[in-house]
Amino acid sequence: MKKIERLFKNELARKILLFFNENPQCIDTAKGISVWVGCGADNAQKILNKLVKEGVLVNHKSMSMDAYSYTTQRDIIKKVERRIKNAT
Amino acid sequence: MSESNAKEKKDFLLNFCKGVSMTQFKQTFSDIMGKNVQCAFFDAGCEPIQNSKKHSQHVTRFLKHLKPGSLKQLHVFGCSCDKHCLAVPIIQGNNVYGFVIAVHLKRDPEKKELDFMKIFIDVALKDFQKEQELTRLYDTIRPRAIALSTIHTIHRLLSSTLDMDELIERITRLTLQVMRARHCSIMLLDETKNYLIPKAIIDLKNNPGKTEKGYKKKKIDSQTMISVARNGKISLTRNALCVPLVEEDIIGVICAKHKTSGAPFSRFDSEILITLAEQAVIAIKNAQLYEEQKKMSYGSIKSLAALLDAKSPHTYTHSDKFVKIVLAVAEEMRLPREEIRNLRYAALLPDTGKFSIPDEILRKRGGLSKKEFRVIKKQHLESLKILEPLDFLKPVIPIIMHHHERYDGTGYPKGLKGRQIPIGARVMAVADAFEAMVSARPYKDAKASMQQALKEIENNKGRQFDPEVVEAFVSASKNPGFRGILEKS
Repeated sequence: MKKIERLFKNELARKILLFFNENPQCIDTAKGISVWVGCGADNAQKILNKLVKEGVLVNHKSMSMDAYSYTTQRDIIKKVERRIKNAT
Repeated sequence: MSESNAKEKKDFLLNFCKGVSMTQFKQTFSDIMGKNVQCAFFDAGCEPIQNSKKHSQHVTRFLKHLKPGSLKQLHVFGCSCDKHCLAVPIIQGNNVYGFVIAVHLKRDPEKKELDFMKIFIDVALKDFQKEQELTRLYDTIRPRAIALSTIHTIHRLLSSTLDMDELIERITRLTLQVMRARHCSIMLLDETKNYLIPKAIIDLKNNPGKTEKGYKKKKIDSQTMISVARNGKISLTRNALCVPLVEEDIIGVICAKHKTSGAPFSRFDSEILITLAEQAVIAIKNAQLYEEQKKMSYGSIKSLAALLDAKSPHTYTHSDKFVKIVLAVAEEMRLPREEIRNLRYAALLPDTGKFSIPDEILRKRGGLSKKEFRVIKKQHLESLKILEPLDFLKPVIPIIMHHHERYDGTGYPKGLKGRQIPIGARVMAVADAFEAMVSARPYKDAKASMQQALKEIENNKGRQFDPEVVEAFVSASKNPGFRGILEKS
């Protein structure tokens, strides 16, 4: 939970987590996600890398692109949901 | 007015009254008519609106002063406490949503004030409708735009590989992600169309993140599978969703089971999986065409090698062992897939360069004269022209051409040095020398043992051979599979 708490302190990470929590079926590039959350693609890329490292997002690599999706690990999803619920 | 229409209007009015415009309206009204003014909202049936109920009990008794049919106009009337009341309709065209009643006004509102109220309500209504329309558009379009972008991303991910195994596994993983499912399988129909051959199965619960290997083909006997794989219908149940893979005819099925959240699969899920299946079929078809093309290319090279072999056995080609050794080293070096494919083709035709070298030079025992060596260099390049018309061999020619170069730059035909020599040629040079040493040849007294050959190769590391390739070669030679190659031959 501490890890999730730490991630939520970053405004952009919070926005991206809220986005994926609301749209768990989404798979998109950093550029696409930056449009959905309203930020620059470079900033989104940095945070996405961080979220992948923390295991909250999954990176789908191919020769020409990287795409990101929400984790399927139920325990992590539950922690994010709990954090969102506590904030509202 | 129908019941649903009335409810729609009531909901509209409720949200309208909650909006910022109406808060401003109440404020403005109080500013003009005095602080003690009380407002309450009523629907067209004179029922108080939920959020103005605290004032409505007090105001409701004034409803009796309203004249029948007066809801469409501003209406000023006196109240029992000698003060004034005002009913302002919330109306647009003939659509009466309701009205707002203000009581305890200190004076009769002037005409310009009444006009202002009317305009205020009208503008607020239009603003609210625009806002609602935007919200509706946002709620409708955003999820679809996100879904569309997801499908586009999937399309790009699937288009980026032509390797069938990699592709099928990628489709399975992406399906798991998009469906938020715990289990996904892709099965293709066999030629008889009676069996489904599982190509990839991922079960996050039993085998997290890994595909199950060693599948058995399944007879299409269950009602669900007959429906999906034979009749091309979608099967949607609470915990499973199966969609056919259709390309002119049905080629297989894709199934997702058990949502990670425990929720049931929905119609929206099936729409997404159908679109994903369509993308998957295109990618599978492309990969199949690519496989066929690869087989055709491989067949052409084999024919060419057979033709060369018929002219003079093992002069222009090497044994199968040679091809396997080259590939084992390439795999050990983790060369890119394309490079490995080119090496495979090059290893089938390694000495095509000898084709136009006169037989007397080719068969000569002992050293060559300078003149003869010049002929070899010239004819080596000339001979390779027979491969040029085959477009798919263009990247293969440099490997064949330069595999007689030496790492120190003393080889032929161009005297290239170090990394100037294509990596494939550097790999083939080591394998060529190794195979020559461990194979029996009519012009050689005895073949070397594997250890002797490896020692010789290591001795020439950095001079004749690329040190990196030699290391990979030595490392590959320790694998049981490598020994197997030598033993089988």
